Amino acid sequence: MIILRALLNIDRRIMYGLLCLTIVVMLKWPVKQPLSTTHAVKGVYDAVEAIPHDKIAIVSIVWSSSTMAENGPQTEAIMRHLFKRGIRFAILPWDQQGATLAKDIAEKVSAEMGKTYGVDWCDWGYRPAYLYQILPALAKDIPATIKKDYRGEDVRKLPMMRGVKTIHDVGLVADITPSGTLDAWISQIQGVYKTPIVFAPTLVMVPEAYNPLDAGQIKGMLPGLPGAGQYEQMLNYVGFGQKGSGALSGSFILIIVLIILGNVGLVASRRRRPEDGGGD
Amino acid sequence: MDFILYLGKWLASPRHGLALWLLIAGGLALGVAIFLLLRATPGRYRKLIVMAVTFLAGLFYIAEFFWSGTIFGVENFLSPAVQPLGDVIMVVGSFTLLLGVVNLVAIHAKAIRAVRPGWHNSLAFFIAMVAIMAAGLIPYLQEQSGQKGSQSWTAVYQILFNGMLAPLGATMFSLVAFYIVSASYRAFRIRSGEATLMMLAAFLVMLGMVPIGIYLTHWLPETGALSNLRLERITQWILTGPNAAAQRAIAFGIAVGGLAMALRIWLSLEKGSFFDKQ
Repeated sequence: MIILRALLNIDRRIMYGLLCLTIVVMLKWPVKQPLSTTHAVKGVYDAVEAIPHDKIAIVSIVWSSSTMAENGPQTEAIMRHLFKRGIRFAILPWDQQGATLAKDIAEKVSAEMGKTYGVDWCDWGYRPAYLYQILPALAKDIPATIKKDYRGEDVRKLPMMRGVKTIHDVGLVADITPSGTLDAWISQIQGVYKTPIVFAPTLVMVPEAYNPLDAGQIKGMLPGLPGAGQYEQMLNYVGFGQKGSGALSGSFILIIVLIILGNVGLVASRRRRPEDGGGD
Repeated sequence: MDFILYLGKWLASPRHGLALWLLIAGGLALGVAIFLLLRATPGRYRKLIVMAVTFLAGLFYIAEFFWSGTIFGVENFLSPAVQPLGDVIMVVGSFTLLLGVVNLVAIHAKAIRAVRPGWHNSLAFFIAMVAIMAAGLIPYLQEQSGQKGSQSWTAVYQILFNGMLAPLGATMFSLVAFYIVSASYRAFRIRSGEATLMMLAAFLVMLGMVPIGIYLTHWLPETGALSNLRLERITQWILTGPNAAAQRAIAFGIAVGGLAMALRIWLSLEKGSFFDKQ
């Protein structure tokens, strides 16, 4: 009974230690687990597949190093798919750290897949995150709004930007974010110009994204790290999305076990209440 | 309006060398002059100016957005100004970054001068800021002056950014996971029917989002009535059914609240710290 009651108040340091151990072990020795593809992830895949070759894609980056573990693999997976299809894309970073981190991912993947900066992809450089004011301008005239890429070169001179004038020349916007920027893209771009949007949020943001998904305002969604893992599986490569999903599984199982143990302790303490006045 | 458009285009046209520096100096001088003029203006007139500018700025975006095509034969003459205004927003937004740096410097300098408890953290801030600025700016300035960017400075930048800043940011955020474990353990107790229901929903959604949960029921058929018992299907149902309904209600509430708040700010009815201090 003492042990059962002890379950009611497990020291938080033990819980922290167990979580740390679970994550380290699952990352060090990943266990291959099946990833079932959800319709939301398939929606992203289909939206990328549907981009016409005469249009570009915009990869909107709002994340920083804090959510790199989730948004990083999502960014890489989407970029790989765009490269694979030969769709030109531009990185549009709204975060100072994300600007460098996303560019690093693009450089790594483009080197791996034999793609060239300025021809297959470009980086429009950091913009302050005033999306509601900047997106209307971007929609009407992309080169006039962006002007220069992150290297200070005129975007009009980049080969991939030839013929790109307005948002009508954009076949897809991928909003990769841990914050609420989707509303701006929907209200200023999708709602007005019907440009397809896909969304890649962190896992905690997923519940609130089902409304725009249900309404068809976004074509698909990559729910956090498992979403990236599912997308990697569809693209036939193993990245951190699949490797990290195992650690996430382990962590969730640990949380569930701890909740069950806490409730076992609660029930045990209630049972002894009539005899010795115990309880919670 | 034509004059504003002409001015916007003139300001946005690319300049180099002395012309660029003169334009920057002119812009700064104009900004400082407006700032000083505002400061010299009596409080109640200043309030009126701020209210008028806020109202006009808000009115522009509202009118431009809802003025689709032509109304009573009048073409939307506001749309061409959206792009130059976007430039202005980007410039103003960039200045807010500088404002943040100035604010941090002022606070930490004060802490060091007064030798407040934890002053060494403020010193660490200055060292880190100067180091990363130097490591980022020196190779950039070298490249701008036609030289080859120093490899050693680039390496220092890589160490500071990829080796320190990015992992530190990720570490700070990952601490949330530890708090979530502790909070879930204490919060999800079967104290009532509602709490039990919430706990069960949390279990199902957590399991249905990760591979292990999907594996638990993968033996069930993928089609037919029994497929609805697969964990990922149950999770999808919870997320797209009850969750979406609740989220929609919350979204409507937020939207109505946001609209009311936006109107209060637009019409300067919101008494913020600026007017309170007048």
